[in-house]
Amino acid sequence: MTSTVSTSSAAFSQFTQLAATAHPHEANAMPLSHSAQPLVSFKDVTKRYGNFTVLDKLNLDVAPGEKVAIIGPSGSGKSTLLRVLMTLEGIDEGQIQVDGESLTHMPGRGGLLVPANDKHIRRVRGKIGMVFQSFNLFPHMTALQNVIEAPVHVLGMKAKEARERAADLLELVGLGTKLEHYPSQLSGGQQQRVAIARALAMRPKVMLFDEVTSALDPELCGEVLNVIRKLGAEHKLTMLMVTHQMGFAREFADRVCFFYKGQIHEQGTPSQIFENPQQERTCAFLSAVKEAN
Amino acid sequence: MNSFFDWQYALQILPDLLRASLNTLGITLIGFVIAIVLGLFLAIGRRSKHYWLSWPTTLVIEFIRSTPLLIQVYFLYYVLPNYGVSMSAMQVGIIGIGVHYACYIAEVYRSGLDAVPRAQWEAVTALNMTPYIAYRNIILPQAFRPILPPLGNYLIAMLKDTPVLSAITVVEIMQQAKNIGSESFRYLEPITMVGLFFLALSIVLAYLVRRLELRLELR
Repeated sequence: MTSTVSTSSAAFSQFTQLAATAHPHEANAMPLSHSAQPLVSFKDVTKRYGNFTVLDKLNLDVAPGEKVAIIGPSGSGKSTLLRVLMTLEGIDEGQIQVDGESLTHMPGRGGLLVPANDKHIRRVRGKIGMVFQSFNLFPHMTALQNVIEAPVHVLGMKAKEARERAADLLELVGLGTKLEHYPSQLSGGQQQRVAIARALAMRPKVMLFDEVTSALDPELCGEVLNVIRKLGAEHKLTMLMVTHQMGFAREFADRVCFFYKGQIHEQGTPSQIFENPQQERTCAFLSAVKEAN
Repeated sequence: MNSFFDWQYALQILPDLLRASLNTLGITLIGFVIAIVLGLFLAIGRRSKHYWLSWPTTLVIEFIRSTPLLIQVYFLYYVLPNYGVSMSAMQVGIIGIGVHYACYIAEVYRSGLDAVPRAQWEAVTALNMTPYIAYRNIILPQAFRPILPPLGNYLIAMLKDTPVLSAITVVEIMQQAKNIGSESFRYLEPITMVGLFFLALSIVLAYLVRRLELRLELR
């Protein structure tokens, strides 16, 4: 008796899940048709910490220029998704592709895919930039030096050109007057904006934002979110952001993915997810967040 | 001759002692350069994610740290020639003390490197830096400042360990003092002077290290 009930409810949830995911694909039909290839693609990606499965056969395609917000309870694998994409951590199964190239594998002898070596990873990883929750600026360098460092030593840019571009980028994030300040002389919001400029200086195709306002006082969140808004409007950057700022996700993202137990439990346009969530877990999470605010 | 401390005798042996003190100073400085360079490679090797590198490095560090310097230099000077490796006492002394202290200093580097937050490594990875650039420009500058005081300690400890090398006939200041003493049967003056020499040099080195610390702390 009980088993029939559980199977039927499972079937029901599967159905609603399909229904919920059908829409975003329609919504994505437009950008996808311009370039058939997704810029970022997770294929059956599994990541475990010991016995704990953080990412469970996860599939996700992100179209060029798409802004994807990732929400969900803590421990659901949101940040891990960004961390494995940035290659801060390896994956146990599956494959990740960036801009048509495998990030995790490379062609080996006889055309078989083998795990990627450092050189291959470094080449593909150059297309990805990341901004962290705790800024992670280099404390012994000024704002300007922070932004110049990688373009000069990784991209091989001339110092003068790197300096000019860095100054422009810092201007873009509203810190044109703080070039010579050390991180310890800047507020959290300012440090985070330097970190955004630093990531942009590497000309990434995809930017990852990992809870970038979580370590900030509420009154400083706005200045960081404004910079991200500006980037979204002015650049054709593809963005993946893990965020607890539901208001921002709703207004900014093209697509919202709700993570639960290492999988995308439900996804859709912001209005679908926030106004008309289909999954029980999604509803529970959103109402819990609403209560907390 | 009857006075407690014979100043005339002291003045007479001073040139010989000073000449030998140059050896002491040279051994210390060259040995320390070996120690801080080799120590860095040992520390980075020990931290490597490749087991074929980290295991042997760990083994070498622990082996050398766990055996006395005296036995090591004895081995290098008196045993190795039987196997076709022969060096002068001075060469053995500098290499021996340098490598010995490299292993201690490797552990100091390790503590400094461990103190750099993991988040810095993540930033470095996200900016796609090679390990070489990452260590040189980002990680080491941050690791270096907090380990300056212990590095200074090892410099002074190393200076005071150089008399060990008299056991393998290196004529550093202590060996010279013993030679002088055994010729004239007066040990008070030469040994006292050697003690004062070490005291003075240690104070000077400590002062220089302190000044370097202050300069690096400015930022």
